Amino acid sequence: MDLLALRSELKRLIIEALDLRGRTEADIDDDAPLFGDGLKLDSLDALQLAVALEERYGLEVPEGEEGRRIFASVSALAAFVASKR
Amino acid sequence: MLERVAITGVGMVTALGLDAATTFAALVEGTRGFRPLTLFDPRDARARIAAEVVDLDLPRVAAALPNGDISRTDALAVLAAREAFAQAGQSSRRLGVCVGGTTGGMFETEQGLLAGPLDRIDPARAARLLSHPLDLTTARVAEALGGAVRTATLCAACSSSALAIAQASAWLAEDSVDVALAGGADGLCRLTFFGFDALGALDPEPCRPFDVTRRGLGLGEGAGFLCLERESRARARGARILAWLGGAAVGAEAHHITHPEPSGKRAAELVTRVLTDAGLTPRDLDYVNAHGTGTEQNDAMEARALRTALGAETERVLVSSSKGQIGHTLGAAGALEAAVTVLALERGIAPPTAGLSTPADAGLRHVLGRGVAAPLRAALSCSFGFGGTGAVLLLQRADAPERPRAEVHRAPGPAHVVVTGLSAIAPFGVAAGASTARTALAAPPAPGGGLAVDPVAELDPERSRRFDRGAALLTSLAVRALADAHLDAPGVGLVAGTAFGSVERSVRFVLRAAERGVRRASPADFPHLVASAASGNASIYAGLQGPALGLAGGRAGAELALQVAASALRDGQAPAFLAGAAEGFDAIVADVLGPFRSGDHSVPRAEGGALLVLELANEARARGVRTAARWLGSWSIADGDAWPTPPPGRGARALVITTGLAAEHAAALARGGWGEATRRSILEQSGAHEAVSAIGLVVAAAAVLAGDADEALALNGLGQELWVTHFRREEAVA
Repeated sequence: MDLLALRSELKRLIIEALDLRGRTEADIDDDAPLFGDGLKLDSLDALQLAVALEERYGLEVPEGEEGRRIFASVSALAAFVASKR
Repeated sequence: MLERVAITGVGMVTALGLDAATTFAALVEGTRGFRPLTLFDPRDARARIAAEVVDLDLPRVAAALPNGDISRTDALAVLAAREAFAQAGQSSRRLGVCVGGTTGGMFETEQGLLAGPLDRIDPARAARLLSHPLDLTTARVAEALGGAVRTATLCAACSSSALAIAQASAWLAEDSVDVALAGGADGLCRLTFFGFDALGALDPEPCRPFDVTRRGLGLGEGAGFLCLERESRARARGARILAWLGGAAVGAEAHHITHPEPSGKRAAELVTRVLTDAGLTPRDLDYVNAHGTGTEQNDAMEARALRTALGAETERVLVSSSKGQIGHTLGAAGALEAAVTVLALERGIAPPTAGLSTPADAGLRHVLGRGVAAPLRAALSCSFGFGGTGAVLLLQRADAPERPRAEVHRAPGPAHVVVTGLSAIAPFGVAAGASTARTALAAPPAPGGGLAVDPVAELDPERSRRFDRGAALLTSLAVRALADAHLDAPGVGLVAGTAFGSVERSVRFVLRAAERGVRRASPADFPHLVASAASGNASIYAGLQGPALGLAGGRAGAELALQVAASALRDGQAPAFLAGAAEGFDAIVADVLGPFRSGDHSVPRAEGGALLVLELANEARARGVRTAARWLGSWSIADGDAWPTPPPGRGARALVITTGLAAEHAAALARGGWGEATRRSILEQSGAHEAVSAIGLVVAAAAVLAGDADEALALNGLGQELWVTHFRREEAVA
């Protein structure tokens, strides 16, 4: 699966797992921050997303600084998921 | 002058012992109560220990009760309540029982759920949650003590039982009871254990409150109760006074459902307020029993709050958290830790914070290792919960001199309770204000129970994510009611009846964790599963900063919420309260309970709710309110209380709104002087559910506020008892 399709899939996963009612893929910019600004997700969302990622891709997101880098944006997340394949 | 509240009995059941003295001795020794879990299999949870109560002989506790089937939580409660009551040596009295809790009989429900297939919900197994609601614990305690004239079951997550103590204190001040047994109980269960673990909030090692290496909380279980009475009564009967309940400061942060507001300024305000109200300063304080859970967020916030509030005295005042030894006992924590504080004052020993070796937060004077003997004149017990509702209780040593309480500025005029605003959501429509009555009375019968408006769609999606329907309903109602009363949110409190909480979502959470593992559980769902989630979420969304409480009261939830709110209002806990009830559609409740049944009648099950805005008459008038509906009380006829005074003379327009009325009660109503009143049932338009009486209350009050009636009764005959609420019109409140 190419990176474009993966980013798209991840956006759908984020919307579904985090109950972002009323949001579409078009609302989520590839490089926009997910946490803090941008989508304004919080640490509860980070946990929920980590569980959803493990469920879908069998991947464990590391904690701490590395985890924060991976969750920085959809692009960063897609790069991480692709690298584990 | 307001009498002091004496504490004449203490009861405790914890991982450290089955009675107060045993637990306290172990606390002083520094003994830790954490052990590998035996109650259930922790599966793949990161934490595998808890402060479990040992040697709890459930059958023996059950055998001594009229009805033998009790839950673990009930048994803990009955044991601790009996101990407190026995110590106080009570004889004949008007007893009030006020209990805080979060999980009730969830453990037993889980046992049933997990006995069958995990991949689907078997309603019959989930039914136990519905037959053992949170308020059953309170009923068991009242039963064990020989009956109570007044009861309430409060849920405010981790501050539940501290708020129960504050509420009971209000009952004594207004003389609705002579003696109050106030406290809480929570047994361990998978829901809370897996839930906190899924959040990453549990420390796999025994917790370390305030330590640099703190990593999370350690769950515990237990029950704690205080026996409270007015000073004059305690002295008259020669009771031994263990300590004084010098005051309680309660409030919410309107911040976040799990994260405390980091500066701790709300918590600091509560500390300052409880001292100032009692005519004290930090110089009079010697000890603080902190909330101290061992999580980074709470401990850092609390340390900041204490330093802010105590100022220069921070260096001198001893601080400790008991959670390093008895664990975080959730709904029981407030009362258990208040009990610890009472014993600390009585014996002049400040217990330690076990698990603390290197304090992370500069400045506090921690008690390390073992308890330390010290003269303790006054102490605080702090509890801060999910959804941000906190309570700080002030306890004073028995020899404390009586001191005049701080001057409270009161507006001139009578201080009875009035309704100044309202809102309702039902199949007949959404209404706020006077139009509610007219809309309800003119509406066609509820078709399939669907609401006229979708409460979820109405709210800002970003701020209402993961709300379930009950929370969305309550939030919509709160926003509307506040607007109707032209009230600003800060300071306003909320008491909302909820019959069952989030049944389907809780069951789903437990089954998923059991089937797929705790690592695959849904962490973001967990904070929404507590019975206080709806009131917590509504208070955060609406920006309310008075206490926000869920109240478990079955079909009389709204009436009990009014009683609790009125008592808190008279006690000065907030300048106004939103009070009522809401029930959102829940698939399991609908499956198991089916259409709503009352006697022979079967009414389609619907969803909806309503809230009243309550204020004191003098304060409402001071802010310009000209017309109000006076609340003359809500009570149950089964208690043997009289029917309400009939409307004065002819010409008074009287209205009776019913949500269920049996024939014999209709006859008694006529005999009681209400035969001429216009009588309307709103059940057909509202559909039925456990909160429908709230809608009846609001329709009755709205009619009075709109000038359609001078007097109105709301009759709720849906349960075993008949609940009556009486409103009377007041203009230019004198």
